[in-house]
Amino acid sequence: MFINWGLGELNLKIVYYGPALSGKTTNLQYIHARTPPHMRGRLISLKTQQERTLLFDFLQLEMGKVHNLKPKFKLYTVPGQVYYAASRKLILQGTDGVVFVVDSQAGRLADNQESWYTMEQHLVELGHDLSTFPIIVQYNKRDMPHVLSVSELKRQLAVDGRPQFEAAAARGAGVFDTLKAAMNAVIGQVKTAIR
Amino acid sequence: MTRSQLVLGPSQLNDLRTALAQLGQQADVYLAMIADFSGQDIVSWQNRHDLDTSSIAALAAGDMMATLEVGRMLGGKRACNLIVQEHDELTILIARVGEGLLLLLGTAKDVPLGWSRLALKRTGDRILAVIGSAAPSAPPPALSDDFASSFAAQLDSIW
Ligand SMILES: Nc1nc2c(ncn2[C@@H]2O[C@H](COP(=O)(O)OP(=O)(O)OP(=O)(O)O)[C@@H](O)[C@H]2O)c(=O)[nH]1
Ligand SMILES: [Mg+2]
Repeated sequence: MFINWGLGELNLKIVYYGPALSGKTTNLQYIHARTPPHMRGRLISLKTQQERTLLFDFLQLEMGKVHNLKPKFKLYTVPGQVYYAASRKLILQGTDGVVFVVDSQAGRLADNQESWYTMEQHLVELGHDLSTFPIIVQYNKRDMPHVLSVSELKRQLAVDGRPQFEAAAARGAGVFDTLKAAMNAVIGQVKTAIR
Repeated sequence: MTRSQLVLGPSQLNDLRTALAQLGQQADVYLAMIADFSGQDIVSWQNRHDLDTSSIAALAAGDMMATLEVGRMLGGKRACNLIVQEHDELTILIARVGEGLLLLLGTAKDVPLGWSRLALKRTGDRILAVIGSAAPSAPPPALSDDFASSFAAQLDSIW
């Protein structure tokens, strides 16, 4: 978070986190495609030749003024592939909220659990209190065959009490519900942070 | 509050702008920018007006963090933190300032590296003095209770 009272700007960071291929980049691509151009910057993707995220994707959203303050959101994705662990922690630095993108396919359960666990570890290492830190859960790929039920995923990931949304990000379903919940949660936290 | 939260008042912002502008006027500088490790662009000075400083800040922070991590994995102690890119037409330096900030300087090719390094060091010290100085002079307006609900309403009107 960076508050610039000189310009009346509130700069906030949200990171899309989750296992490889769960659809993090797809969320940002859809947001970029469906947001009025004057409100968004370029979508920057540091990716491999196979379209896999290498370091991060980045997209800035500039909201209209609210009570003389202009909120700006920097959205990032982390690379989900296992061997990019070091990068993931770097990207989480300074984040004000996380969207955890779950791959709902039954065969990906262990990857989701592993990713969730390391995310919590990183957040704790970065000094966050998990009981208050905004984490929004997105159950993605609901359109795929062989997905686990939401109640089963909820139980397996122990995400009780977190805002949760079903999504099929490739066609946009649930993408903005998730984003709005994340933005609202982060704004809610700013209030307590600056008192 | 976590370490990465930064709050700047109008006078601090002004002091930082002045420091960058002075840097920019001493040589053929394209861009001088302060960002933080979370990728926030804090303030910048440029003699072109088309640079996407938000994206540059995000990338420079990623670059610096990745470089530091490579150093750490090789056993470095995070002492010297400078990234240099030499292009045909320009030179770009990214230096770490204090714990969590970075200063990016883009100059014409003929500006000597030695000058740039010294300038980065001096400006870095000035930046730390400003950031470390007293709290913002104008008290920040508190976020009123209906800030969050006005914000939520705006989101619903966009998407
Ligand atoms: N059917 C379906 N496919 C999806 C959905 N979301 C993403 N995909 C596809 O899944 C693949 C991976 O999506 P990405 O967004 O690149 O995944 P990622 O999480 O960014 O992956 P990494 O960068 O490797 O961590 C792409 O082919 C997407 O089109 C979805 O909701 N349904
Ligand atoms: Mg990706």
